[in-house]
Amino acid sequence: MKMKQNNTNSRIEVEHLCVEFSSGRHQTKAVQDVSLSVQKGRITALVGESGSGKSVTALTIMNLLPQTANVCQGKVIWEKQNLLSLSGKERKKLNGTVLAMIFQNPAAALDPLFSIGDQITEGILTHRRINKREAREEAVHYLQMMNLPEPDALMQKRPFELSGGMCQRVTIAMAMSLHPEFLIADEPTTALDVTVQKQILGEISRIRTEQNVGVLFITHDLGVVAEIADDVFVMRSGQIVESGDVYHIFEQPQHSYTKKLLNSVL
Amino acid sequence: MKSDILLETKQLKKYYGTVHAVDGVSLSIQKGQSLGLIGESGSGKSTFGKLVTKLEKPSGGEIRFLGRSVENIPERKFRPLRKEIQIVFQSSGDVFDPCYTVGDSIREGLHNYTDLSPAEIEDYLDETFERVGLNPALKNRAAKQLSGGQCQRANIARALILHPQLIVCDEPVSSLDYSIRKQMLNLLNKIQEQEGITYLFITHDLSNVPYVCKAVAIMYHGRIVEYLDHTDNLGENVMHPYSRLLFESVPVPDPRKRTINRELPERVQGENLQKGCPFRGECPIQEEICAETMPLLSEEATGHKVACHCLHKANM
Ligand SMILES: Nc1ncnc2c1ncn2[C@@H]1O[C@H](COP(=O)(O)OP(=O)(O)OP(=O)(O)O)[C@@H](O)[C@H]1O
Ligand SMILES: Nc1ncnc2c1ncn2[C@@H]1O[C@H](COP(=O)(O)OP(=O)(O)OP(=O)(O)O)[C@@H](O)[C@H]1O
Ligand SMILES: [Mg+2]
Ligand SMILES: [Mg+2]
Repeated sequence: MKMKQNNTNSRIEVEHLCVEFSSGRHQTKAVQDVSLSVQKGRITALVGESGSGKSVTALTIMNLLPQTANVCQGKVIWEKQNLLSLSGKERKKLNGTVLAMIFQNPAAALDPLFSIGDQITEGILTHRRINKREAREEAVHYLQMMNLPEPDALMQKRPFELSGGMCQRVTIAMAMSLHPEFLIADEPTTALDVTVQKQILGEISRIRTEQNVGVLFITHDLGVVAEIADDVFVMRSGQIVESGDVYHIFEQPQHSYTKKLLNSVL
Repeated sequence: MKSDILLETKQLKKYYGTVHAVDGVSLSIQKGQSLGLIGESGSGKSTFGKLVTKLEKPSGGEIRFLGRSVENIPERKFRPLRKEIQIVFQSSGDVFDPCYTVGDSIREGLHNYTDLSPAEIEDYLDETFERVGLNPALKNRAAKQLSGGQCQRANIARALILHPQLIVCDEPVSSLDYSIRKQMLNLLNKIQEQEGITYLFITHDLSNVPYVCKAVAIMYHGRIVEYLDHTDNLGENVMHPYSRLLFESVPVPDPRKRTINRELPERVQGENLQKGCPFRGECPIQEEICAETMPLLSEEATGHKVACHCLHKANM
């Protein structure tokens, strides 16, 4: 079924996505018939149980699934094209310009051998038309925005010299500094204390409003969802069980799993 | 009573060049109890955890385990204690060797520290996986083939399986949704009851603290700024302006009560940190003395210590 696209209000549509993993004779159905959409200028939260397929959905959008994964069905539509059927070269061009991702495991997203400064500036230089000096200034600017102390000194450091939450903030700075149209953020604030988290959520919601960025925000923290989300998708065992705008989800949850999530605060 | 203390640090310090990651921390944990360690990102919590598990060498101060000073004993003599002191690392994804399955990594620990037969090891591994809510079949996967929360639970299993006396839990449940989180915290509590295990529990989720911990220390910039030996009504009882800011920042699960703000706080940096209170830049109360002298922990009520010059003003 083809849907009419509205170009002024660009979005990413995941349609009937199914993803399986095969290792030997074993098959795991990680994602089963998932449909969701991420609109520009809105924050779409994806919440759900551990292992329910949130990261796999995000990695499919980014075309970063491991070799062992198989997309057995479904599309990822952006600007009338199915991103899953683009050639490798065409698809690659979109990451870093149209789409940027904040990974769930920040340590894995950073190269242990290079300084923070080199890693952020390299990303900026690859995807934006500015010179090296400007790129370094931008890098410092984004680190500052993440409330990281002494960003100039931080530029010289390597990942192992940073705390867990500092690494996480560096990866957020890296993704934001690319000025993507869509930001795919997989649990971006799990390593942060609530005070810093609040500041970072403020920055994410600002780029949504001021730069019209569309954000897919994966989290298990309903407090965070309440703070920033516009739309919410609830996932369980590889499927979307409920979706709606944030007020609807919090005030009139329909599915028993959503109700359970809302009640299961300690 | 002295003999009840499992772990004690005195003026423990770790400096990385000019970064004072841990700057004179004195804490103790009773055997069979838990201490929560909370505070700002980058304040030195993980470093403290690595110091007490002897994964990092202190720049100064003392660490006592069961009354015995361990900060300078050579690895050879410390080895028998290794099994007793386990850590659940903050970034669980990097703990397991990417070339092995998580099961292999855990088996290796059991081989090194116990004399169980291979069959016993397998049973035990399956049982522990089930306890942390993982399908035992997942033991045959590499860490990168697990979801974030599954990997975190494999990590908890790795520490629990050795029956240590102390586990440093560094953000052990940060990737878990609330229902699994609760299940995991219940499990930690149950094991504590059954085996008398002691936890140093580092967490950003403040609601976890009263659930697991009898006492709590709040860290800011390498130092303990507040300590309470009780954790009920924690949010109402904390007094330090930083602790109050922290508890005020907990997101409320109500989309009609949004509070996110954009202003970044003015923080004290560089040389100015050598003198005075490190929190003064962000503090709502700023007096002359705050820029002059470092406030020290002092007992404000029974079992409640705070390091602030202006408490009378902060809690009006
Ligand atoms: N490389 C892989 N090989 C095999 N199975 C995998 C792989 N990656 C993920 N899976 C499985 O797919 C399912 C979904 O994983 P996913 O990482 O999407 O979960 P998640 O919703 O992000 O969970 P969490 O909140 O714990 O991060 C899980 O059961 C997981 O074990
Ligand atoms: N190996 C290292 N080399 C240099 N500096 C380090 C090293 N490890 C930690 N640091 C620094 O020590 C300080 C404290 O780091 P630590 O990891 O203990 O913080 P944390 O309280 O655990 O923070 P988070 O909540 O973000 O995990 C940080 O400024 C960090 O950059
Ligand atoms: Mg995930
Ligand atoms: Mg840490």
